Amino acid sequence: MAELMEYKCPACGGALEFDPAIQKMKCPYCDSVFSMEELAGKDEQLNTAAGAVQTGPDGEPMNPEDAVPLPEDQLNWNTDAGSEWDSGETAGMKVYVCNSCGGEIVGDESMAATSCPFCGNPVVVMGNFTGALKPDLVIPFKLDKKAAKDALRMHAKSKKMAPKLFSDEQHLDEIKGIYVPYWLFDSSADVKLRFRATRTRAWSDRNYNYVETEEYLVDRGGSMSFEAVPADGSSKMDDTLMESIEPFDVSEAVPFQTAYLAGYLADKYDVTAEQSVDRANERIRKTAEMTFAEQVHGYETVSLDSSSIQLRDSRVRYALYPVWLLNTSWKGGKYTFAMNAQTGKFVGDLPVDKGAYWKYLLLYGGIFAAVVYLLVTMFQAM
Amino acid sequence: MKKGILALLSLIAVSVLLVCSVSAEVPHVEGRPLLYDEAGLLSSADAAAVETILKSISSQYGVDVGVMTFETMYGYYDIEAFADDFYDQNGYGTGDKTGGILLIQVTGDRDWAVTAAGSCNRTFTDYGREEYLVNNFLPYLREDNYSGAYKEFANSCAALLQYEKDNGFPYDYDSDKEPVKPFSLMRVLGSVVAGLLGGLVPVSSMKSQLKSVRSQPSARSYARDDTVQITQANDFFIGRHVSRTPRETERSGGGGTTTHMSSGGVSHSGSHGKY
Repeated sequence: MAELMEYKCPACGGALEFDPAIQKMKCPYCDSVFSMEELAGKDEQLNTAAGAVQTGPDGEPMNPEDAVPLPEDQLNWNTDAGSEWDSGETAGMKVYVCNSCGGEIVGDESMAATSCPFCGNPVVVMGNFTGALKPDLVIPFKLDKKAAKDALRMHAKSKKMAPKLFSDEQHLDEIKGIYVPYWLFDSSADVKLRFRATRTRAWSDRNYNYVETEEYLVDRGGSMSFEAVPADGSSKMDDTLMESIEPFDVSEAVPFQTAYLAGYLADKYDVTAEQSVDRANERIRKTAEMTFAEQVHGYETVSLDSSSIQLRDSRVRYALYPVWLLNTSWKGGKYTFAMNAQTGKFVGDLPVDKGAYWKYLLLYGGIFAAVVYLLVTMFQAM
Repeated sequence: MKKGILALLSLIAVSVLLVCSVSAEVPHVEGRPLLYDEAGLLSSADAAAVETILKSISSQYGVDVGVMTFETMYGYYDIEAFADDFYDQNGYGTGDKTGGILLIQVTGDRDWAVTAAGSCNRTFTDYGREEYLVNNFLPYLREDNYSGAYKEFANSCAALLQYEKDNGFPYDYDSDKEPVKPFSLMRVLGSVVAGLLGGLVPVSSMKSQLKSVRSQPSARSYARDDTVQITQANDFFIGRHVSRTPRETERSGGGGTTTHMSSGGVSHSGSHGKY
């Protein structure tokens, strides 16, 4: 059994949640508001032990003489239901006990924040934020669930070929706010690039056309710095989906406090920084090559011949970034959308409504055909 | 002696010509019909359709545009002479018409000829006739699609007549635009295909808008622009080569129409061949 933490309202005992609109902790029951600074020192203290109070009914006794003797109770059950977990089946799973209601919360090893399925209270798995697992930074949620729903509606509504059903809020299967673990790579890069470039000149005489091509080797070198290049540290999150909602503005990140997680889901990383290095390096290399290629002017063609990139002053930070995930289904397919809960950038692939596809193809095709016919006729007649 | 031989040869030549002229005679038709299907190649419906087009064009442009089919050349050995004589002896291009053009088809040896006279000598230049008119109808004729061939002939004639009417000069090799047929199935089909292909552009664009999940290959958003420093910028010249291609020479040659005299002394132009 691992240790859970909840933020209780000092006024009414209700579970506090982080409110993105005011960027403070708020009690949904009594509307008390607490600043994050007030709760900063409580990560170590707020292990409340609130258990459920058992109560039972009282009954009035009957007079035994007035009653016919009844047969003894036969309230036996065959209680063989269920079976033991096989070894291996529970690998990767953990069971926590809710401090509020005593209910069991089952999660995987990387689950770091969730809500109790029985009482709905938000809980934080403290063990997943201790020692090296403690994030350096967190970007708090700035946009709430309503903003995410609105964004989905706008996302689907603006696409003429998307099924109309997707702009209907009732069609949403699930929506959840989740802090996604990210590795942030900071580094300076010394860059040396060699390009092959050509310059051409054309002229003609009475009998021939001439093209002269001059070839050059073009070297460009220098340095540039990168700050907080992100790499998704959760294997459960689709890497492409997470890259699609970039960029995050790390300047708005704050030192990590578990209080920010209240009311949201969170995972600790299960992809290490070492495993994420290659992706970060690939993006840094690509950007360096593009940046220095822009410094090559005056040629008709430019192609990269070779490059050398040396990183220095490198460091990696661990951060939690806020994401809204929305799931829906259509014609047997599952569709996942994500919104950057800091900037509001919304992504998610939508299916093609075949009826709309043919409608627009015939409409535009007909218009184009008429225009082409008229243009050809007019051009030939001119 | 020599004079005697020469006189004998002349007598033989004149006799041959007389024999030929007596045995070869074009059929005479009444009322200058624009469609005369003696070979019976068209159904009555097709014949009516072709005749309607021919009458419409002839009326609109004031020239006879006609189609004639025969099984034989009535003793003629030359389709061009047969076509010219048929035109002259049946009075085409006369009366209220300033000229005419006929497509003559003889099924026996699969010969065809186009003969023109009067104002049509100017309208149907060698280039316009060979490269446009004949190229348009001959493929149909070769496929034995007679109705299609005659309609194509009529529409192509209309296009060349309209071209001259619009521009004041006939369509020739140096024209910078093409004649326009009154109705072209190919143009309609081409426009539909081009329209659908063109329609695919906005439709594909709309479809691509449905995809928004893409990896981010660069980290441009996280590069600090104020830190970019260029410390090395060297350009090394490594070689030069020159390619040479011959220039296209201007097309030489003149346009216009080549004419010849028919046996009746009328100036004709035309084309002929086998299909």
